[in-house]
Amino acid sequence: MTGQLIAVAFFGLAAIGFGAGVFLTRSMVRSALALLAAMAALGGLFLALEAEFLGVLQLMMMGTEMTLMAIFMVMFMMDPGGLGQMEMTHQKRTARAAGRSGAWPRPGWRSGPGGGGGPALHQRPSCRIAPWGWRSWSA
Amino acid sequence: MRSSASPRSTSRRGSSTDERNARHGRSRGADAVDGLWLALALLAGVYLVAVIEEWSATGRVRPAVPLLAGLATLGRESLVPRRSDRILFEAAAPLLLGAALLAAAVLPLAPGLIVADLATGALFINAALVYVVVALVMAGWGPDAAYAMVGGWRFLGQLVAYGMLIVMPLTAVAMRAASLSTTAIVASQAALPNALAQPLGFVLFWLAALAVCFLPPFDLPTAPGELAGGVFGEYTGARLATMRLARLALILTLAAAIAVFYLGGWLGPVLPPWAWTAAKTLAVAAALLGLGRFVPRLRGEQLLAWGWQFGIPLALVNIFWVGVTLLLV
Repeated sequence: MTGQLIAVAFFGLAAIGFGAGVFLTRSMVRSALALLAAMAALGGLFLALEAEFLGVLQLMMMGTEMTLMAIFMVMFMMDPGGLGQMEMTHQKRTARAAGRSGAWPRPGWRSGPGGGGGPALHQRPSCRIAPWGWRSWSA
Repeated sequence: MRSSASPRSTSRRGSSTDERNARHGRSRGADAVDGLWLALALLAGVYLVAVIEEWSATGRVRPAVPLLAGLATLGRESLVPRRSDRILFEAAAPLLLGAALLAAAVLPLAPGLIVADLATGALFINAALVYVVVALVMAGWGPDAAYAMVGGWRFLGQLVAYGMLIVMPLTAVAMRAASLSTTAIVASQAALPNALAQPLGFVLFWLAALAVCFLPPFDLPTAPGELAGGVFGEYTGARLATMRLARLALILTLAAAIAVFYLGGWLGPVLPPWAWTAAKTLAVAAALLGLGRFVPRLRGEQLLAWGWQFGIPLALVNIFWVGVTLLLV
């Protein structure tokens, strides 16, 4: 049991770490392979949770997919190796505003049906699902 | 060698190692002995494959050559190219070795003599072999060298050609065994080996195995005489030794896979089971290394066209054929 717990924690942390690595590198190949490593760690997590078929399937499918994705990222990005110091992020002001709008505490949150923990995600004003899709930032 | 001890039931699924041992009355000591035998078998197998490779290239059997060549390679300086992607460059060879060893872990040498008898063994071997491609793409991108990169991306294209031809013949094999467990697959061939029961799948899997090991005529990533070494071109010294060792382990694994999935694994008269597996594996390895040398190298687009226009339809025909024979016979 303890061994299983350690394995789950290890693969979980590895998945998070490699997942962060995807965004911390400028090299497209490193980024794609970091995503592959995160997905493979999730496969290991499934195996540690004794979901053998899911784990093996995850390891098999992600290996092919992420490696194929790497070559498409290299093809379509202007600085695939990350050596040209090119800026890869975009729309920073909008992204910041969106992040703040999502994180800003709003009146009425505490009185939601969930009690103290705040309303569920779909009840947040900023993430309400409208029939035509996401109606965000406006409410 | 334990030849006939603990013939394992084929219906067991997903039980833990401890339960398994308790059921078969085996101790940790017996497991340790098994592990020792498996490690020795792996080392001996890799060495013999190296001797066979030498024979297939020069026509002479010189048992000392792999050892001497290995020592000589280890003694040389191991260079790191300028502006290389150090992480990918360093990780490629261990990953290739790891993928080959993980794939070998689910192949039984004799009844009960297996590293991990997974219920999903035939699927797991696919999963492990996928990381061969990842390793070669890393080895291609890592050193910041044009020829290596061409070799690495070529192998990715080669994967698109051969990938389905690994999975689909194995589907038919699993259909006959009604299980993905590799021991069950061997047991299902007691009456007739799969090479005779489903010859089409055998040929397709054989070709795909050649492509996984990037042996001629599918040696696009290294392409001797054309790519200046290809993915291996920038590796020297200890790193090259690791890379070559991994390649030999990969060839051994694929030969063992063909023996297990199509030639009846440990089944055979007179000799002990492990000797049958060893003999079949080495014979397949010799054929893998020897036969392809008489065929010219295929170009990438030819490989893709043949893989998808002929290979996949034939693999579907094979699955259909196996299904019909299973229903009628």
